[in-house]
Amino acid sequence: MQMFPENQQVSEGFCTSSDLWFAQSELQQLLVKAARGAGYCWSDAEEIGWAAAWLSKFGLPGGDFMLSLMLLNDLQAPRLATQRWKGNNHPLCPLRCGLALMDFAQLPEGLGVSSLVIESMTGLPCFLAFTAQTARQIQHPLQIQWEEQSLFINEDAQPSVEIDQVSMEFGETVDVRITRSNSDMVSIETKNPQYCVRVSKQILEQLEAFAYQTLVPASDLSRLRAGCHDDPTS
Amino acid sequence: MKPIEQTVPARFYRSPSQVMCLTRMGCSHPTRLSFLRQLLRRLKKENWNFDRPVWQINQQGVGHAVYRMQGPERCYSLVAFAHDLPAEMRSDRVIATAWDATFTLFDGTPSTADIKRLERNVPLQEAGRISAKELSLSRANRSVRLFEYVVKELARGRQPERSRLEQTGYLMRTTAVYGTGKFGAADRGNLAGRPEMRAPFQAEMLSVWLTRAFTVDLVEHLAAEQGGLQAVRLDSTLRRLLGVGNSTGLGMAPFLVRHPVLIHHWFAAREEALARVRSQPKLTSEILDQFCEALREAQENAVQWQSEHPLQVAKLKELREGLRQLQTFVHEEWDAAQIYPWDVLWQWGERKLPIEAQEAMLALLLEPHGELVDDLGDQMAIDEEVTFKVDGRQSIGELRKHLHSHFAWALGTDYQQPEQCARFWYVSEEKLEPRLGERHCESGAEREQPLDIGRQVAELCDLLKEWSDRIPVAHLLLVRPDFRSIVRRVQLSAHYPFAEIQDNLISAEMLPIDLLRSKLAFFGATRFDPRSDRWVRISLFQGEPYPNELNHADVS
Repeated sequence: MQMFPENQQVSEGFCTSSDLWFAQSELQQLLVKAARGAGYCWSDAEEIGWAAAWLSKFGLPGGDFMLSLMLLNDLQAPRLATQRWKGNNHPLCPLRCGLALMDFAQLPEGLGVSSLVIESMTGLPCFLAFTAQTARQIQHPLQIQWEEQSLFINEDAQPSVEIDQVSMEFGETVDVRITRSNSDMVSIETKNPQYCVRVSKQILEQLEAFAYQTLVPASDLSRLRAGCHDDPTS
Repeated sequence: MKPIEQTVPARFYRSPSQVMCLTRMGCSHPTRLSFLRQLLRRLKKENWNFDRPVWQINQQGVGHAVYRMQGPERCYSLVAFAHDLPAEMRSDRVIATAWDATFTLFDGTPSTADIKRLERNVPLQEAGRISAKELSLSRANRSVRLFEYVVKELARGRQPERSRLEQTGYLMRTTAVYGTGKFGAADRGNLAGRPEMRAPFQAEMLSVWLTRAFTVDLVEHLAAEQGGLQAVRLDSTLRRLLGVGNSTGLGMAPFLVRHPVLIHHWFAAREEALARVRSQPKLTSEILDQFCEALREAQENAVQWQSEHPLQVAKLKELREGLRQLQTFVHEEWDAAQIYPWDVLWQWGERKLPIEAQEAMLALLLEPHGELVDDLGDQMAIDEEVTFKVDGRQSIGELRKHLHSHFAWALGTDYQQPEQCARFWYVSEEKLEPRLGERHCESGAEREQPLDIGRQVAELCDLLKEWSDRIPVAHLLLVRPDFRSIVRRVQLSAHYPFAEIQDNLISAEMLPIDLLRSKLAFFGATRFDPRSDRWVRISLFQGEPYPNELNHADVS
């Protein structure tokens, strides 16, 4: 998945045989349907759609990452404890961790006054989006650290420009530290949002296959009830 | 994003429970805050210029044209493709695959290469793909009887009969107008910072307004081709009678449920406008004259407004009778010199008039008060993303309180009763369009769309019975993530009281056209003409100036 050029200009061959350009909102809607079709409840599907849109907005392949999440079904919800969330000898789910981070951010089990470590989480890129939402919700910048890497997100849910350089493999299982940042975020350069994203046909096909599961086959009755028999001569 | 603030005493406001019920929403009328009115006011105020740089339509009416509006900073162009559509292929249904004309609104002036690209995609509509350079995608079919009739009359050097134009009201009707973020079109985020696109649906409204000009140009072109020197152009007075028709099904109904905060802003702005007018302690003779003129026009419109659908026939009868009563009261009984005259009038209307006429009166009260209410148009758009959150700290007790305060309408219903869960909303595999199924006799309910807000609220209420008041909502969502969406809505309701349609959207009694009419009235649609309980025809821009008349026209 590649981002659309910042000036939003479209060349004659804007639509190659293997890719399609999507508006961010269009991608979001597709991801909601795909996630629901993949078996998530509507509430989770909405969050997955939102997260994919956020990632794409800041240059990451949100659709690809969220598709990877949909294809994994053995990730766990975290067991919450002050300053450290763990799993049960099994990788943690970035969606469950992300939503819990948002909901518990200002509770004792969440960020508290210092930091929170989440152990053995898979799908870090998906989790990033929820960290951004958390920063906006608590109106405080956050720092995310994993392995030797680090990223800031400000209180408007905008990531620092390092988002272009950090290495994030969806399948990698990592320990993540989230800290209320004391840094002066004004001095940190944030990445500009973009609103068009290129989706490969391969990814699109898989997302659409999941989304298809939300559709109801037509019947004569449903066609009849879809609307009136229109009279084109009127 | 702060909700719209109430600026006058509480007694001048209507309650959300009064406003947000389907019966009343289904009687909505366009107002001066409607989106097409906002568009025209801005274009006029900013002196936008119109031209038609491209007209490549052949003798058969096939080809393409470009209609351009140039503003202070940017321009937008409607690229219109006219097709030769066999009569047997003409259908307003979403299942259609070909149309008389197809359109896209281009951001700027399209190059020849752009037009070639669009020519390969726009006529295909959903099967094609547009780009971030485009802001809308739409199509229209001719009103066969009127279109051909007008062409023939003009070709013979005669003007068409006024009554026939009034009866149909449009030469073409759009069957879908897709906006930003659809089929590759620009995301709404691309338009952030453009004042002319701040109000809702401005790109779509601009596209339809330019389409209206195209429909008249096309009949005049065909008349000239057929009649040669004998042909005449359509009289400017008759032109004004024509709008653009629109044929709308269930597709736009889910929008009202899926965008609760946005919908709150639409209704809250309108209600704030009404309250401001009601709270005026005095009126001037000039304002009174304008009100009386608006009432006269509304009565005229009610006479011209035709429908054969039993529901609408009854409403039209109520509207005509109600407006007659209003006129009598205004001229014979109402003391316009008393304090709060508009509030007195409004309260009389609430006591005496049917809902259909009450909602018409709302529009009439706003009409002469542009200076007082037009600023509210700026508050009808919001960034929904910032409200997409759940407050995990909130206690279950607080959540329960909101639930009982704002969702009483949902809690008194037994959703186990067959008639209360008779319908389910779904998306059809065949054409990806929203439809409404009958739960007890159709399959597919397991793939139901989550538009059953009332039922979800009742389920949440049941769930909360097992939870202590002091526990934070975060703990509930940790074990029941499936309730996240409805918890968010309940939390939002505390700040956005007009966010919810306060009716059971899956009941056997629910009329989808009530949803459609409400949304279309905010667009500025007139002449609602239901074709069934889930399908309606309307007219847009009827009576409004054309692009080439804007600079000399009276727009308010």
